[in-house]
Amino acid sequence: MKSLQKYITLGPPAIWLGIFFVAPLLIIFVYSFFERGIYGDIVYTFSLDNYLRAIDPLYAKTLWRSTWISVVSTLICLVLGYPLAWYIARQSAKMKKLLLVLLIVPFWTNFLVRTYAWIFILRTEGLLNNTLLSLGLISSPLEILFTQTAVIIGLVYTYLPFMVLPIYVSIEKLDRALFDACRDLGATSWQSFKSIMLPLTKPGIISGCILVFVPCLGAYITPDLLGGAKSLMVGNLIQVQFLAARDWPFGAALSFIVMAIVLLLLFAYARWGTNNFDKAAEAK
Amino acid sequence: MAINPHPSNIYKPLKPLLSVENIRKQYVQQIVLNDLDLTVNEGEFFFLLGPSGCGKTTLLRILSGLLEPDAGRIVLNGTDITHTPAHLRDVNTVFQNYALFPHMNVFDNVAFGLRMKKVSETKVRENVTEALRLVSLPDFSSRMPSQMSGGQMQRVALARAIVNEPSVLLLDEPLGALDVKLRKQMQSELRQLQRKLGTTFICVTHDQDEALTLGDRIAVMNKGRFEQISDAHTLYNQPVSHYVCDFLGECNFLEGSVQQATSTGCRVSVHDGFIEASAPGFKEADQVTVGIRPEKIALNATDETRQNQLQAVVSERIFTGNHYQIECITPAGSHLNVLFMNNGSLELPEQGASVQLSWKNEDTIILPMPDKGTVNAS
Ligand SMILES: Nc1ncnc2c1ncn2[C@@H]1O[C@H](COP(=O)(O)OP(=O)(O)OP(=O)(O)O)[C@@H](O)[C@H]1O
Ligand SMILES: [Mg+2]
Repeated sequence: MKSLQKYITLGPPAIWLGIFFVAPLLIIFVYSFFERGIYGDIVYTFSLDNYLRAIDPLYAKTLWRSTWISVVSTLICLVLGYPLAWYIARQSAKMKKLLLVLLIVPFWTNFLVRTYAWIFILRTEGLLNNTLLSLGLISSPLEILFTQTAVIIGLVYTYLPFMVLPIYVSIEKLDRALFDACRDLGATSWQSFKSIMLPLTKPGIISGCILVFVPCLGAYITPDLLGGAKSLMVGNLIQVQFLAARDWPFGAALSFIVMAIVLLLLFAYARWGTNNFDKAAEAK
Repeated sequence: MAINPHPSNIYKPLKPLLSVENIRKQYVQQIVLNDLDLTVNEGEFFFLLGPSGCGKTTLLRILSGLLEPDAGRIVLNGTDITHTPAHLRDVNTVFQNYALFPHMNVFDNVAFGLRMKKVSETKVRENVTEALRLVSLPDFSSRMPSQMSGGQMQRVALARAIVNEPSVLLLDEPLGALDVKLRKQMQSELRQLQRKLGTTFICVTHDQDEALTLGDRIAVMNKGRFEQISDAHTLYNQPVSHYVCDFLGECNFLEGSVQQATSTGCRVSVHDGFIEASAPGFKEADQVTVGIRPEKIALNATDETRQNQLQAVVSERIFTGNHYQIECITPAGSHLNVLFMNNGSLELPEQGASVQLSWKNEDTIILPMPDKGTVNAS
């Protein structure tokens, strides 16, 4: 009786996940072992060629660069997002609401438009260069647009809220009295940050990093518009395979490799999390 | 009530340790602490007693350095520490809800203060073990706070503070969150601990029993002011204001005016006749409130020494286990409660019975008429 109830309650979400998540993944997975026909059609023969091709330095380099850009963007988001989350958490209830809404407002405008705005800001005769030049801070314009830097700026801009929100929630949950206790026991501000705030907001930091890193790794619009025509990141590569090159099997293989990287990281995090938990349990 | 026989309280001359001078704290609309003056002696168990919102926690936070006063001075051991930040003060606090660090086990919690002071790890181990032994939690080192009961967390919070050997230990309603039985037990443990350490304790409470039982001296607070600072006996038997008298224990109040005053006492005219008191310091025609504690009143006593007598009728009898409470009404309409022990020494009067109430002169409390503000507060 109980198990029947369980199946009924678990049923709809399971079907939903099955149709919209597992099935497409399975299709992609199966495709990654096929081959491209001469006219961009699919030849249904089993082969590992697509995966071997992905390790080719030409593509491996892009994979590596994508990971690196994503790591840097995530770290910048963390460094900018943590103080921001802390600042918001310290405000009065009314101010908090306002700041959180402001943080989310960009999502209400079209993503493409926002990214084009960055082109306008970063280009050689753009807002940034004109401002810096007229202030006399630089003598010749900075060539930022269509570089990795521009991509990182774009990614940080886009995903910063994903870092701020979970950290904000974990800071908000902290008991103020803990900081009083910390000060009272002789800790300086830095020491209380290090020994109380940082460890207790760790879950928020980790969630934030995952929420930023994962979409960064798969990003293709931002590197496409801000990174120039160089297929800087693996997202562009995949896009090209599916649309321009019409090589679905290879695109599928690349997609699967990206997902494997993400899953590996999540798995490492889960293992690390349980290890810490075990340590705490052992201490009992 | 037992007088504490501890040598440090009787034979040692009192030496002022902490003094608070003209401390004032104001939030936008409200004066939370209104020019407070206070001196606490070395080795004293001092209580700040007052109702919720009277400013007790605020004063404690100012003493610990977590809050800056708007005006005034704090002197500890002869040094002005008014502007010394919290982490440099030789003062530690047991917080209202313990504030244990949830991600650290008991040992690390207790060791925190010592580690901040860069004490060697051997010494840390030694002192933490000793502190945990003092609060009777010797085997709890590796427990996490979430795995402990309220009483145990309370002890850890205590150990975490005393391990630093502060000059003054501040306690903010340390027993407030415990159930009655445990609270009684912790009260006596707290007393023993304080005696053993000889440290000055300043403890905040709104529980008058706790303050009366444990405190060497008690400051009764009301709306950011001290109403009276004194030992338990004086506070209870000779309160200086209606507020203090009402806050500590039960009391019957009758309003009247001084009809005759001498250097040793006075005679007050009330609706029910005249009441005599051995309280000096009043003059004729003063408007006063007469207070008589219910347990000081005897029913139908033949004792000659009870100079004050009133006739009354029993309107209600309430049995509360260890004692009876009898409510009486005088012919003039005054209500008086009488309390006596359930020890069989007295025959319980019937409802409606006529009784004679009597008490001694020295048991009459005479209080100046409270001004409006104080009446509302009580
Ligand atoms: N940050 C603040 N801003 C404005 N008012 C405050 C602030 N902190 C405290 N107060 C006010 O100061 C008064 C005293 O507060 P405090 O916490 O000292 O009371 P308390 O005596 O400790 O009460 P309790 O027994 O409930 O703990 C209260 O009326 C409170 O509303
Ligand atoms: Mg309080």
